[in-house]
Amino acid sequence: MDATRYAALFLAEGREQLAECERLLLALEGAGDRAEALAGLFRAMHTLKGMAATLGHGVIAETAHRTEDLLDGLRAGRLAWTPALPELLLRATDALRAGVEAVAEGGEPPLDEALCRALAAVAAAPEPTGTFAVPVLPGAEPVPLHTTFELRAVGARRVEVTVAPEAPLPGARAMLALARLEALGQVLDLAPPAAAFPRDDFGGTFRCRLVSPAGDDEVAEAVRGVGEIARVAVRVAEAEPAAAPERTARVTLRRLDRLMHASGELVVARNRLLAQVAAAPRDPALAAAADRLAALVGAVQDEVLAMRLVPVAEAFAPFPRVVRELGRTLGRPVRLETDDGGIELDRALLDELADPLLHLVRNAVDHGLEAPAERVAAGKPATGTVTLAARRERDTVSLLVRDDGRGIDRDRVRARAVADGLVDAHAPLDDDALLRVLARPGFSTASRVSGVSGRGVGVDVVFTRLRRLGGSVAVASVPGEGTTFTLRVPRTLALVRALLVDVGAERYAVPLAFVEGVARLRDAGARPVLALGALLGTPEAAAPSGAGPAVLLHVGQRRVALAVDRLVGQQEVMLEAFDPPAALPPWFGGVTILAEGAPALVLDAAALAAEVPAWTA
Amino acid sequence: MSHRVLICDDAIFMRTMIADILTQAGYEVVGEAESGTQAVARFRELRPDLVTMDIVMPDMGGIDAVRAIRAVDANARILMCSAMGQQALVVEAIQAGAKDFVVKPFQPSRVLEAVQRVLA
Repeated sequence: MDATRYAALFLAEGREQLAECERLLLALEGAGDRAEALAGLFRAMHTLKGMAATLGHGVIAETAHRTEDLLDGLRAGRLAWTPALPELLLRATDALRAGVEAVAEGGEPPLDEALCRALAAVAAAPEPTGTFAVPVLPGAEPVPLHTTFELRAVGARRVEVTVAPEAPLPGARAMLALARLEALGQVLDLAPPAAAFPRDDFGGTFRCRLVSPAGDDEVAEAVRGVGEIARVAVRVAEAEPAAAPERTARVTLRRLDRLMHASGELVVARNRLLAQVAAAPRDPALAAAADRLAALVGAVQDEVLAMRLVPVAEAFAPFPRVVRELGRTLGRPVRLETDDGGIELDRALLDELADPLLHLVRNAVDHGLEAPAERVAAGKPATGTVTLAARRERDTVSLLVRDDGRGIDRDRVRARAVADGLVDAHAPLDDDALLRVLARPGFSTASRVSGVSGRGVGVDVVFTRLRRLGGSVAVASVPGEGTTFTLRVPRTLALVRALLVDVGAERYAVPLAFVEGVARLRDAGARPVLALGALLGTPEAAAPSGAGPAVLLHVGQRRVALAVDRLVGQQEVMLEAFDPPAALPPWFGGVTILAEGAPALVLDAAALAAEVPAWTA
Repeated sequence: MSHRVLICDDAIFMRTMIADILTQAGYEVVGEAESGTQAVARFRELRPDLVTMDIVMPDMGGIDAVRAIRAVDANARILMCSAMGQQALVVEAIQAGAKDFVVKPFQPSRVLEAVQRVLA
């Protein structure tokens, strides 16, 4: 047998199983279905143990075995659930991950005996003896020890099933076929995913890989046995390409942060150097060296940023469960659609966005969607749809939370806002104005208490968080059709491309994420004009004139022309958080040191949108 | 020996119709239930070879009844009786352990085919 190949498979599948464990553990801490999560965890541990034992990784196998024992007790109800368990199980998962990663590097860490004792104590199992014997499993489990792994190595089967076109409820019929396949072995790479089966537009065909000791004919026979099946194709899957194992190193996030910060400073220093060289073009050799250095710094920067990028899909992963549970709790059928667009985002940003997304999704299900009867009466499908999507625009990534519910009741929001003196009774309440009302901390509390059938709950929290990240929030709501919240953030933290502008003697940076372009003020179209000098009270600022320059900002649905004295150019700037002096308007997001060494304030266009009354005109 | 069947549906009409189809085909209808709670109780008592289960019933729905019955006997054979447009519910029932389903309005031949598949 090809040992390298097995090792690579072990790593790939081991990581997969551990990621799944983590997901399930987090679901356990949330409102997830505990029995289902425990069963999933048990299966994952079981698979991991089998693989590790086969390859002689005794420490991993032992740890997985202890964990599995505990999970089995919980799953079967022999052991009582306690709030401390997720923590212990996460510890076990961490230890297993450390083990798997150590195997990737050609070693194996020592057994964490304290952990094993803790697991054993909870499982009330005998103390670990220090030697590992392949255990006899309590209870029957559909995946026999080692099978998954070995068969996957020799190549699984590809199965394609098509339901008879005249069959009623083709998705349910396909589900029966899938259940038969799952009874035969392990189903992998299911397409479309099982979530598509209940939909009315399910086409009736699905594909998957099946790892099973059953013969081809047996598999086909089992599927046909569910009835109303037009076609079953079973063939041996081509062997997976033996990818060279990608060697990895473990780096703490803190180190990565420091590296990112340093590389950000490096970019700023590079820009300063280039500015100097350009200002004094005396030495062609120096200029060439500076150019070369600039290119290398750019390459370093790209690598560092790439290291921090994670798929947005990771942030979306817990939501199918969350939405399902919410729908169940509230007694309304909900379907979640996700479209991550293959987009990646800085991990730190994505972490920060988890709570806002959860807030908005909860709001969408709880307040956005109508009760099934109300939906049917309005001519909509009884099942509501919540959509999570990611889009890329310029240097920003937008995350959308959309529901197809009743839309925000503007009249009620307005009544509240007028009563609270937030808006003028006659001013139109467009989407931006609506958001400003919803984002008032006082407003959200009041609306929850009084039961306004719109939003409000937590929108202020979302709003504040996004501003802190240098992002923005927009809302679009159509009565009877639904509501979309859009969270827009820069693709990476800290280093932003900015447009530098002068007002009076001061220089300011405007992040390009919110800049649509620049123009002479008279060519800025129908946008409202804001004079930065007047906003800042800069006495020496030039009075805005038609021939003067303007920065065209785009925040949410609002477009505005920001009149400045002079456009300086673009630069990458390192955004530094700061404690703003009390006198400073609240729409500065940070400070930066420019290439020429001078400090500049960084304008927070989103905050400007929220704070400056002129924008509502 | 003919197979013993428990029929669960809140409508007498549907129960009668299913009973007729099955009896004419030689099955023995040993009991009927008109709610999920009753279905579980009668299952415990009768231990039938097959249960036909309506999805929407008062008191306890068919899907919860499937779960409860499977908790009593993991090998219970349950055939869901669904209406058109209940695909999501049927999928859920299958995930809960139902073995097959038929869609109203019933065609006797389809009902019998499904019963045979479940008992096979």
